[in-house]
Amino acid sequence: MSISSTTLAFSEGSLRAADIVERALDEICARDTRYNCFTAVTAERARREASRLDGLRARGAPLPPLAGVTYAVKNLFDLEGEITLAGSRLNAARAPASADAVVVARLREAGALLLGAVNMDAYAYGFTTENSAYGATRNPRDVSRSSGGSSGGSAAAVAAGLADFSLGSDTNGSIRVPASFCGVFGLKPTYGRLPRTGAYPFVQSLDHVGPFATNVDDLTALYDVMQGYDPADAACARRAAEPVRARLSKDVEGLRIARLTGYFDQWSTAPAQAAVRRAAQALGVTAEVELPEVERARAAAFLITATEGGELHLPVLRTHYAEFEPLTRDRLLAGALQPASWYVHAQRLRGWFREQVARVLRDYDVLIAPATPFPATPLGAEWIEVNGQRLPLRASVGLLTQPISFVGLPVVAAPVPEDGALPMAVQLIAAPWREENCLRVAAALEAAGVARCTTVSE
Amino acid sequence: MHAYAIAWVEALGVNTMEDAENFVRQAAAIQSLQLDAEALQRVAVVFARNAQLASQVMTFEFDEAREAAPVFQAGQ
Repeated sequence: MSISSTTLAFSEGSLRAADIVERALDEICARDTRYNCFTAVTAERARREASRLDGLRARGAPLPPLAGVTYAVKNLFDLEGEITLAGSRLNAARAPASADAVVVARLREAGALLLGAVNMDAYAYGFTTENSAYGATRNPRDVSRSSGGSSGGSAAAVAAGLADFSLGSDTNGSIRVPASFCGVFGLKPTYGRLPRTGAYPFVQSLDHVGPFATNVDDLTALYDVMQGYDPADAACARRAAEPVRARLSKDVEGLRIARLTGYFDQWSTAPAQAAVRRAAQALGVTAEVELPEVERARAAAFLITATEGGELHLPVLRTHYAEFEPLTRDRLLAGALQPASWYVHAQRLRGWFREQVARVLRDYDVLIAPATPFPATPLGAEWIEVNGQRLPLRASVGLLTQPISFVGLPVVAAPVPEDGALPMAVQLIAAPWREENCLRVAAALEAAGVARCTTVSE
Repeated sequence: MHAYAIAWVEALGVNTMEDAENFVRQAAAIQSLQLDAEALQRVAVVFARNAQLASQVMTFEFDEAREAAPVFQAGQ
């Protein structure tokens, strides 16, 4: 159910929060063995939160904006009393978190009902949610395929209808990739927009948090609730919340929109290009634009990720190398050993690239590109072919997302499905702090019937 | 050489595994990292891939005055 229909039914009394929670828990129990989304189900907490909400309504008290809406969070978000796994077997020995992550606390205050924590790539360093400690999360659209990553459990839980929405994180594409593979909406806001306090870090200068949902109105409502300055996150911007939901337009009149070409065509397969064409056609977009040096920008994002991620984990790599996720440890370690000159030059390139992108965004309000080079890939696959080039799969899934998050731009990943085919999403990219433009174009595509998400019920 | 490493080297079209292994061995020692031979080889494979990407980045020339943006602020 959408947020608006759930909150309406709850406020009218046709749904009790306690019943919503019990039904959701039954669904997880009955169906998650098929997908392996959840690594922890917070049943007692969900029941407590539901009881509070039912009490509010019984007393006739004002109801919070997400009253009765269920959700799950990537298991790198702190949940009071739960161990923050961050996809790692090593973290299972840590003490439980003493408080909720800031965005989780904001959702709790807004009346959302937490169902549990969901699976991810170890330490968020991956794009496929194949985790040797907690298993692979299978894609609800085709369980032989990856759900994408690293927020694969978050996207799959929404696609499977096991939660109304979810939270993920995105460093190089970890919201946009699973949104594309699983066919759900995802929002990666501007770097610094949403607080990361209580979210286990990966690459401090690239980490973002954001929501997954089944429709644009829900995505917007969640974005609004989670906004606001947080002094505990050094990267969080000192900006007042800029809520969008109440005034979100569903038409694109006056917006200047262009399709990204060049690198984004070179590294996308036919299904990805077809998704962009469908979106562009529905929006009446004919303009095309090319960003300079995108391949180098992506390479720089890769190096910065390796260096910062490797440095973060270096102390534990010294003592527990063998216990790290095999798909992750060698990349973290290689990153920790990289020459400093690579990192500094990559950061200088970042500043230069940000200026080039800013120039393009003076002429256009929204840029469209594929979210992934290809649809969901088979679990266990090691290689992929893109336009005649054989590429290592796990390193290549983020080819089209990495250059965008590299400079912190806001992006909505909007699923643009084709009947009978695997899902595929497009990136709707705007200038910094202009999330409203991304959401507005997504809403227009949704209103035109081009962007949509239906959940899997089997 | 490990089959996985061979596949990587072939895919990258580079012939720097020996250099990569030497670098990783020495850098790991400086960082007090204990790696057995198999682990060292796997890490060297990843390092070789990163070196390929670094070559793209390092060959891009800037004005000398361009800073490395030690504090990244999106939107500015």
